Amino acid sequence: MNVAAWLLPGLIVIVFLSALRRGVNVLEAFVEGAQQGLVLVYNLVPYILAIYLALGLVQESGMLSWVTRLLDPLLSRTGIPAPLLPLLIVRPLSGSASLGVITQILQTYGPDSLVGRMASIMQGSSDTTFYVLTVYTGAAGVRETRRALPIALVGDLVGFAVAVYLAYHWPF
Amino acid sequence: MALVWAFLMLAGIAAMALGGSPDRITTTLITQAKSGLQATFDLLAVVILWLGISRIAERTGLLTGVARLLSPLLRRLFPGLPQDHPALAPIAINLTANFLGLSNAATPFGLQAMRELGKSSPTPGRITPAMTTFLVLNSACVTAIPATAIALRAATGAAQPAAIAFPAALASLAATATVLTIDILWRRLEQGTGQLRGKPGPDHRRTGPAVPRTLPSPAGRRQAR
Repeated sequence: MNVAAWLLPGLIVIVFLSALRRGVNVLEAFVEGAQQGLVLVYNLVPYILAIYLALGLVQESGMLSWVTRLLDPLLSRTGIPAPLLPLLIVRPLSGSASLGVITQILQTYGPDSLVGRMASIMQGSSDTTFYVLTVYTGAAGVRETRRALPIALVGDLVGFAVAVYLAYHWPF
Repeated sequence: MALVWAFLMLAGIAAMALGGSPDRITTTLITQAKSGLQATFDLLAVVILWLGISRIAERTGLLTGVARLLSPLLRRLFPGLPQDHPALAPIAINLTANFLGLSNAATPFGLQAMRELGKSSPTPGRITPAMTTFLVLNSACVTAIPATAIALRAATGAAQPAAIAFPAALASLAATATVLTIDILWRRLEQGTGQLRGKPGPDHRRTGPAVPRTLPSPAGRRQAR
């Protein structure tokens, strides 16, 4: 099932072959596109740092375990296991942080446990909402998100709810 | 967004102060700034690789081909964009890459698409309907193959690492359907109150030919003749 292993190299080969056939200067084009990317990322550095600062404070302060304890009685009634909550909070913020959380969940509870399956489905079915919104609006030179934020968060909630439901009822 | 950030910063500092480690606040901030910088380097590497390759593909006309292939879908998702808008090709590739679970390759094209949308915006600095749709699509991200989750499960010894692929695809489909529905309804509501009747014009102006340096495709040349 390793699509990435074949797809991307194949794509690059196709691009190069058709470039050579059409007499495109590949190196010049590559450098031009890469330079454009360099400027793009250069402008994004402050946005990415802003997210990391907030996320680091939240993680280091032990806030996650407080919130987990606080919400646990509420969550147990909806069928969401407590170990999942840190993932719910971190997932919209940062890809690498949620990767750390989910790895820990899978190692502690096993990938084929209920919690492990739930976490895997959530990881596979959502993206880092705050990160995407901050960095993408930064790339467009836009300083507002308006309705995009509430809509994206509702989408995350729906995705998480379906993930929880499917982890219980899917015939694995 | 700014309020969310301020809340997280203040709550984090308050929690650390109350948790008895106020001395670690500054060190945490500096360590985090460093790992944020590390993350930008990781991003820079992928962006350079893919936007470099993408420029070659643009010169060969492959990019416009991809956009044309997806144009029935794109036209419906982004009714405010002119057919030859330069953001359409990176949007098409971003959505395809997300769909295939290649999120590393998706991000550079997402950034490029947003930059093009920003350049052609009639209201610089303000978010446009097309940007909103693209943002919510990316936050929900329809994924057919959740590559990262499968890899993690394989690494931790799952019996069937890919068993979660279908439920994950369903969950992301539900999220995507939700965000698109709300987005479309909200957009109609705003246009209904903002502009009195009549079909609103494109919200992004044309920026001349989509990709000036691209060779015309065989189909285009045939039409020209």
